[in-house]
Amino acid sequence: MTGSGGSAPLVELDGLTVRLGGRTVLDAVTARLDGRAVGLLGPNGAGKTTLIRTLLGFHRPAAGKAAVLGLPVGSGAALARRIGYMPEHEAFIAGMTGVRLVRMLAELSGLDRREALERAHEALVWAGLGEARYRTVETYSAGMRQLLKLAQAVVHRPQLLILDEPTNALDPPARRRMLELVEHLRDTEGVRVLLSSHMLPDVERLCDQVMILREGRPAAVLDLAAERREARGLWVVEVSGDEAAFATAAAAVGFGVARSGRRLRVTAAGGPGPAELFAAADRTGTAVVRLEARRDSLRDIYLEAMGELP
Amino acid sequence: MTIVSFAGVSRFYGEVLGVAGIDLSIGPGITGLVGPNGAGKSTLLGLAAALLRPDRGEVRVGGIPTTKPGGLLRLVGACPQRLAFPPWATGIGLLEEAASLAGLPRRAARRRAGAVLARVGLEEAGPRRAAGYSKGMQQRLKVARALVHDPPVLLLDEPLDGLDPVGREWMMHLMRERADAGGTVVVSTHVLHEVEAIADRVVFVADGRVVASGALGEVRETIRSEPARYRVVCGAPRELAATLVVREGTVSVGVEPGEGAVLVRTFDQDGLLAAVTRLAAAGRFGITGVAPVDRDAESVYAYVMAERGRSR
Amino acid sequence: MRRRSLPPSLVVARYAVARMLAGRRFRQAYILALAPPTVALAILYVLSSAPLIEQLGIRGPAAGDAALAVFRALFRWQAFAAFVLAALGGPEIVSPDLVDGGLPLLLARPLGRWGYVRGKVGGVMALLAPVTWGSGLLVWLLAAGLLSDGWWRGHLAVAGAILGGHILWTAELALLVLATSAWVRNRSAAQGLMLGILMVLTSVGAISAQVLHNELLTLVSPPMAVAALVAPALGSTRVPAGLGPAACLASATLVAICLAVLMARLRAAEVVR
Repeated sequence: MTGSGGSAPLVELDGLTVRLGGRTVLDAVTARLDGRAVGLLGPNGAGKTTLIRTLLGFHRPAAGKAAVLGLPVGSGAALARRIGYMPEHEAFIAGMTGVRLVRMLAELSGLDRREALERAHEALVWAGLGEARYRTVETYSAGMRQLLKLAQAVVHRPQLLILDEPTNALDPPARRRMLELVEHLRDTEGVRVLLSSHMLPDVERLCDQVMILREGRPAAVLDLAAERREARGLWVVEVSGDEAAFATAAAAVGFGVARSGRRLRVTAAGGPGPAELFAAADRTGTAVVRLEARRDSLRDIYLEAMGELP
Repeated sequence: MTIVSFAGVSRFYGEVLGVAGIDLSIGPGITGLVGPNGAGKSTLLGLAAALLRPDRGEVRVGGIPTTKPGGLLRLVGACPQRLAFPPWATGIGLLEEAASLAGLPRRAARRRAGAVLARVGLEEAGPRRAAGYSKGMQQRLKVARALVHDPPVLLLDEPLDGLDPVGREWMMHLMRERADAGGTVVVSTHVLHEVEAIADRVVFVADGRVVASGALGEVRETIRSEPARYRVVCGAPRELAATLVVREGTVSVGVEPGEGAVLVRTFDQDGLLAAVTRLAAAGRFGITGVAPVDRDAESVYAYVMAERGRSR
Repeated sequence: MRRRSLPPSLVVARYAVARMLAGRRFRQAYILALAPPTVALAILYVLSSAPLIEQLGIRGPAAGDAALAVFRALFRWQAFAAFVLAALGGPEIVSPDLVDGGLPLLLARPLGRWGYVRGKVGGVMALLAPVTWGSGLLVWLLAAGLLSDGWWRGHLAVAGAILGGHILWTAELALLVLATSAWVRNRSAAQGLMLGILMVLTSVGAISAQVLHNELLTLVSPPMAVAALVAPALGSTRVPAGLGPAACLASATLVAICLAVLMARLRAAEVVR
C-alpha cells in the first residue's frame, strides 16, 4: 500500500453546493477534514449521505469543489481505486456467490484475475464469511450481508474506507465485530475512515475528528482527542454504600454533585481532583465503584450543535 | 407487581420457532429486550400486544388474557417494528383512527390525536400524508399511534432504529417519562449502551427462550464463573499491581501498555474496591480513577450468551 | 511487478458472458441456434456439387441465385435466434444489479455508467457474434470455396451485409434488452416487454404503411429497418429499395431511446423527494 494519502487531508470542501430534485441539500460547505478517521454526524436529511455520494462522484456539485485524499472529486480511476465504499442500504447482486461478487468488484478496481481471487478469499475470511463464501449472496442473513459489504469495500486495499451507517440494524455480536474489524484496519493497515453514523458511541470509538452537519451546513467541526483532554474536571462516579453521605462529603470539599441516572456527575472548578473524591468516599465508609472522566462528551457536543442544549 | 405475564408460552410460524416455553413476568418501569436477530424479541412483543396468539400457554396483560377479544385495546399501546402507512392516510387521520379503535368517542379521539401529535413534535406535518414522512418522522408517528389512548402499557419494537441522536434522546426521554408516571414500557433494541442507559431491567432472549433477566448488575452477579474485572488508572502501575496481586481473591493483575493503568480480575470485588479507595485516599500510587470493565450491557451480554453456550 | 489487468468495462463484459452462459435454457437455445448455419452449409454443398445439380435440374446461373436465397434465409433465421438469445440472457445480467442495490457497489469503482453499459452491450454482442455474423461469414467463406471461382468476387456485398447487418441488429437487441430490464427490473416482465415492443412497432409500422401508402413507415419496426439496410446486398425484393438513409435514421433513433432509458435508470443514488 502506498502512503501518498497519508498526509493529504481526508476531505477538503470549498464552497460545495449540491442540489437534488430542486432542493439544496449541501449549501456552500467549506471544511477541511484532516483527521485519521472522521465522523459525519447530523439528523436525517442534513446531507451526510449526499456528501458521501458526492465524494464518490454519484452527484455532480452545482457549485464549489471537493477533494478526497488530495485528489479532486471526479478525477476518475486514480481516486476511485483509493476508496472503499460501504453503502447504507442493502447492496448485493443476487445469483452470485460471495467470492465471485467480491472478486468481480476487485477486478473492477484494477486487480488482475488471480490477484483479485486471492484477495477476495482473504477479505471474506477476514470478515468472518469464510464458510459462507461459496453460497450465493441472497441466502445471507442481514448481518452477513453487512459483512459482505465491508469485505467488498476493503478487497482492493483502499487508503480510505467510506462507511455509511455500518452498524445500523446489526445485533450486538455483529455490531461488535463490525467495529472491531474497522478498528483493526485503522490501526494495523493505516486505512483512513470516513464514517457516517447515528451511533455516537461508534463515532466516539473510531474517529478522532467529527463534522456535524445541520440542514446542509457544517454546524461544528471538532477534534475529538482535544475535546477528550478538555473533559477534565468532570467525572462520572458510582459508589457502594451510603451514597447520600458521600455526596454530602464531596460537596463539602467543593465538588458539584448532580444525579444522572444511576450515577453521579461530579464537577470541580479547578481545585480538587480525584484523590479528594476518593478521600471523601473513604471518610464516609463508602467504596468507589466507578470514578472516570466523563465519556459522553460527544453527546453533549452534538445536542449543543443541534440547539437542544442551552 | 406483575403487569405483563407469560406462562408456558410457545409460538411458532409454521415450522419456524418464534418463542418456546416462556415464563416471564414484567412489572412497571422500563424493561429492555435484547438478543440476537431471530431470538424472539418481536414475537414476545407481538404476543403481549395480542397481535399474535400463543400456540401454547397464556399471556396476560393487567391480568386479562390476550386471547380475550378487545380486552386489551385500552391497556396496551404497541409500536411494531415495521408498519406500512396506506398511501392516502395523513398523520392526524391515522391517529384519530387509532384512538377510535381504542374506544374513544369521535370528539375525544380528535382532541387526543391533536394533543399527541403536538407531544411528538409533528403538529405541522400532521395534515400531510404519512407515507411521505422521513424515517424519523414515521418513527415518531408510530409512537404517537401507540400513545394516543394513553395506555398504561407501552410495547415498542426497535423504536430507536434509524433515529438520529436527537431523536434517540427524545425517545428515551419519552419512555422514562411514561415509566416515571407509573407506566410499563417494554422495549426491544439492538443497541446495548442504550439499554444500559434506560432500562431498569433487561431480559436476554436467545433462540426463543429467556436466557437471563433482571437489572444488569444482578445479571452480572449470577455469572459466577467469571471474576469481576476492574481497571484502575494510576501513576505507578507496576507498584500498584504488586500490591494488588497478593490480595485474597485476586485472579490476575495486568499492567496496560501505554497510559498508566492496571487491569484486575478478582472474585472479591468489595475488598478490592475498599482497598483501592483507601489507597487512593491516602494518595498512594497516584490513583486517579477506577471503573468496572465488565458490568456494562455489552460485557454482560457476552457473558450471558457464552454461559448459555456452555450449559448446552 | 503487477500484471496487466483488464479495463473495467471488459471485466463487466466477461462476467456478463459468464452469467448468461450459466443459464441452462440459454445454453440449449445457443446450441439450437447453431443448427441453421449447418443446414445452410449442407444446402450450399448440394448446390456446388455438379452431379447433384444435374439430377435436380438446376442450371449454372440458377445455382448462384439459390445460394443468395440461402443467405437471405440464414440472415433472417439467425436474426431471430439472436432475438431469442438476447431475451433469454439479457435480463439475467441487468435486473440483479438493480433490484438489490448492487449498482452503487459497481459505480463506486473506476467504472462510469457508460463503461457499465459498454461492458454489458459488449458482452451480449460478443456472445451473439458466433451465432450471427460469425457463423454467417463462415458459411460465406465456405460457399466461396465450394461455388464457382468467380462467385465470391461478385458477392462481396453479401459478406458485408451479414457483418454490418448482424452487428447493428445485435447492438439494437442488446440495448433494447438492457433498457427494458433496467426499466421493469424483473426478468419475465422485461422479456415480455421486449417482445411486445418489437411486435407492436412492427405491426404499427406495417398497418400505418398500408393505410397511408407510405413505405417509409414500415421502418418504425426495428427488424424491418435492418432488413431494409441489407436488402440490396442480399437481393431481396420484399423490401422496397431506396430506404437506406431512412433506415439508418430509424435505427439510430432506437439506439438513442434505449441509451436515454438506460442512463435514466442506472443511477448509483436515487434522489428521494
